[in-house]
Amino acid sequence: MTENVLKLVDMGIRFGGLNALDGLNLSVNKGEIVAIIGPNGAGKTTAFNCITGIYTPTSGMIEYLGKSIVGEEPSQITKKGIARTFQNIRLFKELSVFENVLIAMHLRYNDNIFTSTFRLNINKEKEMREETKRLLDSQDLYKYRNDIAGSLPYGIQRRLEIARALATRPTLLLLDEPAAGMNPQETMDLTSYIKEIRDKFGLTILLIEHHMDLVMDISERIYVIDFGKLIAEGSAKEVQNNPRVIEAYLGVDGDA
Amino acid sequence: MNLFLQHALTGISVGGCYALIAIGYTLVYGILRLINFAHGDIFMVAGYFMIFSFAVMPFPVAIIVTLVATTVLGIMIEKFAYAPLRSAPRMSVMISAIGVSYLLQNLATYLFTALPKAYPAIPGLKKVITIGNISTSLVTILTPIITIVLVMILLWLVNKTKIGLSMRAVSRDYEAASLMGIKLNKTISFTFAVGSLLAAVGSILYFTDRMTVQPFSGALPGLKCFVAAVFGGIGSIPGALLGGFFIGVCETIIKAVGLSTFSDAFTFIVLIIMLLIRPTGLFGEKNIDKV
Amino acid sequence: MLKINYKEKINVNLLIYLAIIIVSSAILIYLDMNKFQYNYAISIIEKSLVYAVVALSMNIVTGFTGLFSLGQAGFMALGAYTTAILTIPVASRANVYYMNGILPVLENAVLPIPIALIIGGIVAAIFAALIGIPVLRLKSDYLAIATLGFSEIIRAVIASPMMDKITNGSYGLKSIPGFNSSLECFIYSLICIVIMILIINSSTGRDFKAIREDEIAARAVGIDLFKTKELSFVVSSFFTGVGGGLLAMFMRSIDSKTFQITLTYDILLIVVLGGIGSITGSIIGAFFVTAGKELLRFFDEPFAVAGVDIPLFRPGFRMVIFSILLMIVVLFFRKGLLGGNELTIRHLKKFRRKKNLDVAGGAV
Repeated sequence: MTENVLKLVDMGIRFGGLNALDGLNLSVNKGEIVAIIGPNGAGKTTAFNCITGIYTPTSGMIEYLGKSIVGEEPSQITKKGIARTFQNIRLFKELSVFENVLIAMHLRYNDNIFTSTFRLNINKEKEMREETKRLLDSQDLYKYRNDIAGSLPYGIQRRLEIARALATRPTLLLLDEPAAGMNPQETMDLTSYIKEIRDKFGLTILLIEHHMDLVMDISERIYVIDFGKLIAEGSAKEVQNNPRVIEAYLGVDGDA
Repeated sequence: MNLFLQHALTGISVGGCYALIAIGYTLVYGILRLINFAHGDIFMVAGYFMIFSFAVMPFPVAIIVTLVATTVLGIMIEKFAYAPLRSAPRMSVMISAIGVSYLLQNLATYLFTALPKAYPAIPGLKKVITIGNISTSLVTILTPIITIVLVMILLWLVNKTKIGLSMRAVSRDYEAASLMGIKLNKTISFTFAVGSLLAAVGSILYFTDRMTVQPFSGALPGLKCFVAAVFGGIGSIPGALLGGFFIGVCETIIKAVGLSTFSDAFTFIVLIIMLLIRPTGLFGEKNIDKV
Repeated sequence: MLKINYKEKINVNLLIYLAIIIVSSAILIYLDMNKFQYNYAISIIEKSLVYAVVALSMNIVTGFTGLFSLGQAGFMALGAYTTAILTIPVASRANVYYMNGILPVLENAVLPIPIALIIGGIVAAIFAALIGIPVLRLKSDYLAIATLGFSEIIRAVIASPMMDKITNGSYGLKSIPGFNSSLECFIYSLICIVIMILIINSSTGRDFKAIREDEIAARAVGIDLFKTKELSFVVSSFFTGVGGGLLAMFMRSIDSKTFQITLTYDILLIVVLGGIGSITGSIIGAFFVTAGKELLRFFDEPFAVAGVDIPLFRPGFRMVIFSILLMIVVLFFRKGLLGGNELTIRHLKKFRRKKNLDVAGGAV
């Protein structure tokens, strides 16, 4: 039996008079890789922001592992096992690669200011550092450990952001345009990389992407959003041949 | 009753001055998202400009010189202290603003000593007028009138002219506006010019009433006027006007009932209450941060 | 291959710090023994130490957490008054409160200095916690103006007639016991500074830095934004309060005018010159500014060369110099004199190596 990880039921959000998202239904099962596609401004990132608690939806439900997470703090949601990356990479730019990942380890090692200040957590700290080391090593980032995150090449920054998300030990990973700005070769590498981390960390992945090659290659199911509404869902094949999707991407023929 | 009217009139008059300064804060914050900590000190320096120009020339010329000199000062501060930091983090710009404030205060202390200097009496302004049982000076009545006229002109400027359109565009979206061919630097300079000019007018009216200027005369009124701007909703001109009057009147009432020690603190209590219940102020708009 | 030598690194640095502390203590003991000769130097050192504590505490919230707080003077006032009220000798109290008398509860409330300092810090921290609740949810620039305003409210309350029996209103407090020796001042300051450094370099400190770098990313890795900001603000205010207590001990007499906005600006000057987000910067900055202000005192005196007065030299000149210096740093050395880095032995070594290379290069 497939276990449901994430479920959006009629989720919508309004900003002032604008319906940014309207009646969105979506579900992701354990171990799946699911993609959300749609033209720019369709509301894809807004959906991510609702799921991760940055925005609170104005209507509908968000269920994670069968429980509602609407209205919870982003940090709380991360603690429950949803991690994400951002469209325009958000690293701790002036901190080192090592620190970037180390900070993401904190949530699993509850410390308070007293124990951390007086180094009563020395064993936890050691463990965290070991784990960070292992994670960086497994992601081929260890050689950059002392580099300042903001100074790294774009592609490495993307990978670091994913590594940082992995450090929170997520069940569900949300990737917001992971291939943005990558050349075809890099995109292909990324495709296998995403599959690899899915298997290795037992993840469920929901991603937003514009690179159709990657989307078609990787995703088991695809949701298409346009103007805040779901216009299609299904396998890569089904979506590709859906007339509404073609219309959304290419526009309606001249005589319409 | 008479006493009440008397206080109300004083309050409205002080409030008018506050409103004129508050507009400077609101315009600059609207465009650069910067609390221009130096604005109160520009107001103080305008006081000194008047003292020195009045000493050597007839008063109408002195007034014009003061207005022009203050406007130029405002533009120069923007050019030297804020423009180079356009792409820097906001905290750096704020620190730069504090630095300018610190510099103006220390420079004034150095050049003019810390002792209060007598503000010249502009002929006619201090004339005592009696309406019914209330007697007051002309400046007290004139201040709110001048304020309201200036605000009307400003509203026309912002809403009906081309430069006003640029100002509104820049305050909406800085980058998009510059992409649309709006001259960013020109618009920002213009905003500072307007703000400083109004501060100079406010300065003349305020100090005519107070009669002395010293290097720290601008610090506290400056902060109060920022609070007035926040109260009315930062970025909103009518808001700043209303905020200025509100703070002015409340302050006068508090002084009148014998709580002078708290008249300054009161402003900040207003600020904190306002931030608690309605952080966007009376007329402010809500912004959504893009993620 | 994946071995990290934390231990060794830490130990080397620790030894160096210990050496610095021992040498400084030795110098201070020497100065203390010749108190009359070095009175002036001792007073500069004590003032610098106190300012170093306050500057570093400001740096925790401003430099490491990225929250621009301008309430330093207010929190210092809370700490200073609390410490003063709890330490003025009972015998002197009637004399201090000669105008309005003292609240009966406080008449005999005397505590040892370290405890009074800690309570001063706690009072400041409690107020910070309260003000933080509404203000820390807002954008950072509102925090600046709200803390500034709060600091003025504190001052007004302290000076108000209603507080006469506690704060002695506008008359201020005097007869505050001072430091017995500069070593005592050094020890108090050192304890504060060491604890603050430990906090900054702990996992809690890393959370602070994460928030400074990117609030949204920080939340996305599970950092509770509000709680962590509040923590930083409260901790910083605690040490600002203790610093205020130390300032009261240094000055021996205080009144509400001591804690004007200018005091906050003076501390900001230190933090900015030393480098926002640099621990060593704040400490060196405190000494640089305090000593600088004293040494430049002659700028404020009329100065004549061969009987001709040099016109620039008159009261206020040194503050103009400091303001210009501040502007230069803000505009051209955005990261402060130390560039947001820490001055460590490793840096010095690197610097020397670079210099040697330059020399070698020059020889060829």
